[in-house]
Amino acid sequence: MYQTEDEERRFVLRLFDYWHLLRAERCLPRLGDFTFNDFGKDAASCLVLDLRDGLAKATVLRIGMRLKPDGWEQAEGRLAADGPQGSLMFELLRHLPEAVERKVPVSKGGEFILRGRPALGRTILLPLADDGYSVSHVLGGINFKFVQPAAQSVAAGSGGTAA
Amino acid sequence: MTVTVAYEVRVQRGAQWRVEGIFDDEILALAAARKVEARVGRRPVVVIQEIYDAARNHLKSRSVYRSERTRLHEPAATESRRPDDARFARRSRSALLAVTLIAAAGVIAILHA
Repeated sequence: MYQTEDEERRFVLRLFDYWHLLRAERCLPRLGDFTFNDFGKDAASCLVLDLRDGLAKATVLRIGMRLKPDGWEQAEGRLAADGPQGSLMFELLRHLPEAVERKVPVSKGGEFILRGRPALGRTILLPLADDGYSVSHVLGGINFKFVQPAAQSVAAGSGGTAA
Repeated sequence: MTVTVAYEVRVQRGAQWRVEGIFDDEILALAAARKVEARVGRRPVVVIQEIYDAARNHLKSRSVYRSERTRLHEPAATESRRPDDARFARRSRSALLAVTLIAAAGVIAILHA
């Protein structure tokens, strides 16, 4: 089961734990194993990419409303590489090559500028495989909070709530 | 800054250690390791800190967490490194012996010449 915020307050760990549960003894879980309705409000901060045509042609299969770049009325089917710099989607996919190449969940945190304001965020990218081995999709999630410029030096940390 | 720090959560599966996740935050990696531990039952879990200095092309690793089961299975947990070390030591001894024999043969040949 997908953990609730009461069970696990850290967003990226809720996703990591669910991925781990669904993977079981396989190398990687399948996209079909995931029930996005279980994600609750976390679904708005997640996206799924289709990588069956390769990393360079990764396309958006599903995107949460918080991640949809401004001006992207229809995000599904668009190239992930077209995600505009400064968008949440762009920040989320910074470490996509590492997650795909190493075939393991990768979580990174740090500062970035969002809509002209400094923010601290944390991402997680979870590789998925239709055949249990070759990466066919990636599930990603990001949470962030806006910070005052003076507080930027504070580490992103592992907690926080999805904004 | 060319130094990057990563924390890898690894689980022992058979004779191998499999990476379960990569984090840039130690606290998060430790929390993830405990979640993995709860899922994998009796298998040992470790968190390895890797410090990579790109300028020097130097990688330094150390474990920052070992599950109770890892401590109980200490020989098994370190097995993956020891055979390599042992093989290397054996190879080094063989190479040293070969060099000594060749040198001795050379000296004998010179003395007989």
